[in-house]
Amino acid sequence: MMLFLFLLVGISHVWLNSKRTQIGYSLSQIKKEIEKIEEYNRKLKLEIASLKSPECLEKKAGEEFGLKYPLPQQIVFLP
Amino acid sequence: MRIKDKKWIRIRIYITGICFFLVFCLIFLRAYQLQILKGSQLSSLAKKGYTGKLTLTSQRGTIFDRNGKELALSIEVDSLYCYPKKVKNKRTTATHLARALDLDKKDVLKKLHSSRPFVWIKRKITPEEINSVKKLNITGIDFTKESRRYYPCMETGAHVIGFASQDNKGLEGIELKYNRYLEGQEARFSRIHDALGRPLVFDGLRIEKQNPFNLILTLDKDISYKAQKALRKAVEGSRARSGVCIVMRPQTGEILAMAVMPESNPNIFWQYQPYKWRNRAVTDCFEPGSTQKAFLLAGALEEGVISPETVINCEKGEHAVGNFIIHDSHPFGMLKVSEIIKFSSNIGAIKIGQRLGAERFNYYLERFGFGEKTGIDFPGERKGILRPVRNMRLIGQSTLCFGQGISVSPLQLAMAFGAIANGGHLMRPYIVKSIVDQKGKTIRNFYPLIRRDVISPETAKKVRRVLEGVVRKDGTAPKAAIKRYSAAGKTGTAQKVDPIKKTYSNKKFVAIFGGFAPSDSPALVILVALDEPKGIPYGGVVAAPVFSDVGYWTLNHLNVAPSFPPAGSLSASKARTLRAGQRDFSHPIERKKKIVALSSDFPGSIPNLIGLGVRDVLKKTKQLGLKVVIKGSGMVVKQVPESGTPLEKDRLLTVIFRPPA
Repeated sequence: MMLFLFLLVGISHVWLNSKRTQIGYSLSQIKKEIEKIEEYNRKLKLEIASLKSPECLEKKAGEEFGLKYPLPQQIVFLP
Repeated sequence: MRIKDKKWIRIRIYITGICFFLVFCLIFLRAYQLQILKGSQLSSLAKKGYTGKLTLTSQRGTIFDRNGKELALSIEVDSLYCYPKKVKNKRTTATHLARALDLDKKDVLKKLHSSRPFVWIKRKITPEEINSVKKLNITGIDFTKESRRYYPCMETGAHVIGFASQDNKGLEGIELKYNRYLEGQEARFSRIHDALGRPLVFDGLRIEKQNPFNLILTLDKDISYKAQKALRKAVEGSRARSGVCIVMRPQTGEILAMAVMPESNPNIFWQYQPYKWRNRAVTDCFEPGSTQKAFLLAGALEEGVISPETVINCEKGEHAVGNFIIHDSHPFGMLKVSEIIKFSSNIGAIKIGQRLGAERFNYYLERFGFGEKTGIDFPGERKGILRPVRNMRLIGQSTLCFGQGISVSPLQLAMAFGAIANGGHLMRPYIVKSIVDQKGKTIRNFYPLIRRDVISPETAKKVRRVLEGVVRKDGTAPKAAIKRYSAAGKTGTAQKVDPIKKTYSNKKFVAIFGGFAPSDSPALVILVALDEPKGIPYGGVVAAPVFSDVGYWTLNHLNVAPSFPPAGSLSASKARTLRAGQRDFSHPIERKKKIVALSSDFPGSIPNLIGLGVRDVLKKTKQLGLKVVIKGSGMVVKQVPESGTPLEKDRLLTVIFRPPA
């Protein structure tokens, strides 16, 4: 009986340790993944900000869509 | 067995026992030595073997404009380094690297021959460069991540934002001033790794970690872009040496734009000469020229020594002060004070100054903030020069009236115009609106601050009325007039001092226009200054168009009601009345709207419920938060108040229902 208990405790200890190591590996892997995605997100934000910069918008609106600034008589003031 | 043999066996047992005892004693002593005496030292030695420290340099905080658009942000990029001792065949490696990274081969070779264990080859390289280096498959070189700062709006607002170095330190502008908030701190983690050095787990022994903060500025990137564009056009058109355009909210002191020429792109700041980095709006000073007359007028009106209608003799353009003769650009005879400002008569200004007195004029200049720092949250501000009256000769006191013998920064001038625009309060200018953490929680807010009250609201109003004349057709700056909006301001064409001759130059000028719009309730103060324009140097000719252009665009951008709407449109006052909830149906456009309002729901007014059932009425009124009294059943035949009436809080609506016939 004692031997059985001793074995059980020993095996559980080894199992728990190996599980801990495994989880540790996957955790650091996930953390790396999160960092990567966050960084990618930041890069996309930079791209959005660059594309939305007034200079870029003005250029695209003018060259690609033929838009112009409205003339004073084309602006209607609404209350 | 003989007794002798038995004795010998016992002795052997004793000897063996003693040996075992001694061995156990030794083991015990060794264990005591390892566990107790050297325990902590050895365990820390072991820990070093399986744990490692990871230092993460935090990314620099983001800078946003007032509308939450990014003006500066950091992302991670790769940097290439090498361990020179591990690199074999250095000459070939240098050739390949130089080609892949567009570097000088000699420089690379020098780095590879370095005696140091670690050398940077190239920092913050592009993804294309990474790929081409990876293809070379060279031993002894590796990549590491570093943070790089980007400024997506490039030249727009560049002189205000400043820039940060490769090592993440703020070097100029807001990046420098708020470096301690933007920089954050290094985060150090302890981690357990396996025999191959792969991280197993971060054990959470965080030594220190402080995330950087983000900044929200008062700048508007669209207004900044417009100001920069208009200023660039003016500086290039007049071939001026430099230029400044400040757009500010007079009621709060918030800086909406601060455009500076010559411009620089902070993404590649090292390619520009340092003089192009300087924010001239804050760091440079010049004589204000005739713009000074606006403050002379304010002081004289406040003291009651003149009124706008007071008539002064301008002596046909020649006036003697001691041994000096003061001239006007055009000979004027008798002029009203308002006309003196409108036509910018120097002699008239001297005579106003004489009535006010040099002491009192100096006092008002001090009150308007000249000769002291504005207190803006920006590095390198200069306070200019305002000499005490006792150090001035009579001629100095006289020329001070038209802006000679005093030095001011463009920002000081803008703030002084702001005081006239907002009813007499001298505000503290500010650029940072708030500091927020990474989750968007506000850490610190910055609020408008009145530095002092300079003149009374009545005087300010009188000055505004007089300054309106300057932008009229017969004033000195008709080009400053803004279409559909009332505007007011003052021109200045200040002669620069020739450093060799030490006299005022007849060729070098600073052209200035400072003003505000709409003049009845100013929403903006704009100050434009161009240094050494070629050709016609007058402020009313070269600086005023920038004021008009930026003013018109910005007022539209901020949805400010026009002062003079075109025929068929609504007037500003009527528009205000309508917004206040009192509808005026006498206007042609409004009459049209009334018809629309009767047939469908008009936002901000009580909806038309006629013909609806009880359920629909309750649904609609609940959405609008109205209290309803229901009378009868069936369909709505009458409602009190009628549809189209402006919505008010806690409005009680009575609805009468009748069963359909």
